[in-house]
Amino acid sequence: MGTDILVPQLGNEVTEAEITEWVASAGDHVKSGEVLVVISTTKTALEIESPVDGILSEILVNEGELTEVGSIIGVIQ
Amino acid sequence: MTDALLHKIGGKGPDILLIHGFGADRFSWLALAPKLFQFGTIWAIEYAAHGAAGNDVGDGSLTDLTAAIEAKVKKKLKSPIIVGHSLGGTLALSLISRGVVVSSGLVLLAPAGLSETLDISFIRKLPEVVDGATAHELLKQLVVRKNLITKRMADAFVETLEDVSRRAALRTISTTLKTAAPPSFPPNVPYTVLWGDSDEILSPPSRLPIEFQLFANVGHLSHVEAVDNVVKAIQTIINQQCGLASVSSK
Repeated sequence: MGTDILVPQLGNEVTEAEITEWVASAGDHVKSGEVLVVISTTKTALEIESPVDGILSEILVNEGELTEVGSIIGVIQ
Repeated sequence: MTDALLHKIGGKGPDILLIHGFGADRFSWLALAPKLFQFGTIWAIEYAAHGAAGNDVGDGSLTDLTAAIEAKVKKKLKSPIIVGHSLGGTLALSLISRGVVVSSGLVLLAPAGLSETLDISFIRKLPEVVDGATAHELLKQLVVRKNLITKRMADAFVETLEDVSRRAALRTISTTLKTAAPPSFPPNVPYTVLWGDSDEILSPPSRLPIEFQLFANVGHLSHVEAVDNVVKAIQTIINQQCGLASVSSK
């Protein structure tokens, strides 16, 4: 059972964000609190940290792609 | 009266008002605001020449910009905690000093006017950019981690300047900002001042009659590069206020 990496809520006006950069690669060992990915809108960016220690087993949305708030963009095992 | 808009962003509880910096808007708080929803009702002001607000900046002075913010805030929010970034920090001080809006606490992020060194070139260049590549290079000065500023953001900023009135209004503010004296800190309002140690726009002051927290490897946008630290500082102010309320109600 993995831990999903989600695009967080960004307020009531923002529905999607772009994956700017995956800082971690699939297969990397990651620690809780480590920045996994940078997402952005046309106004600002935010860094999404790993909620757990583990291995980033899957990247589901690639850099440069837009994805909806709340969507799963990666999985940590 | 110059223009300003007050937006409810989300959350529930005591009012927390966010005032953005020069060239930004309510969306510049996206990394921070959702993390505050558990602590209060989050509001964001957009003052003239920014975001969805109009372009009437008056003479571009702190006085004119502050009066417009005051008009929007005074009837709507009750003793908000005010979080101001850069010019927004100075506007927060200016707002409180007028005595109409009462604040229960201030969190100031690299507030303009308190640094000995203001990079005038940034303020002067921002309203003049005409292409995405130049804007991208300029905006990257705001942060240490350059991947936090994208070409898409820069292009979007240039697009806002296609409105010639917007460009002119930002020029007016930038001219006034260079000569504005900072308002003083209000007595009896708890505050905290936060600064990135690598701020290229407003370097952290070397001597001040105030205490401030310095974040390592953070630039001008601590609400983007040190989100959790900023949340913690706001939470501390809220907790102080809860303590004071509890004492005064006994």
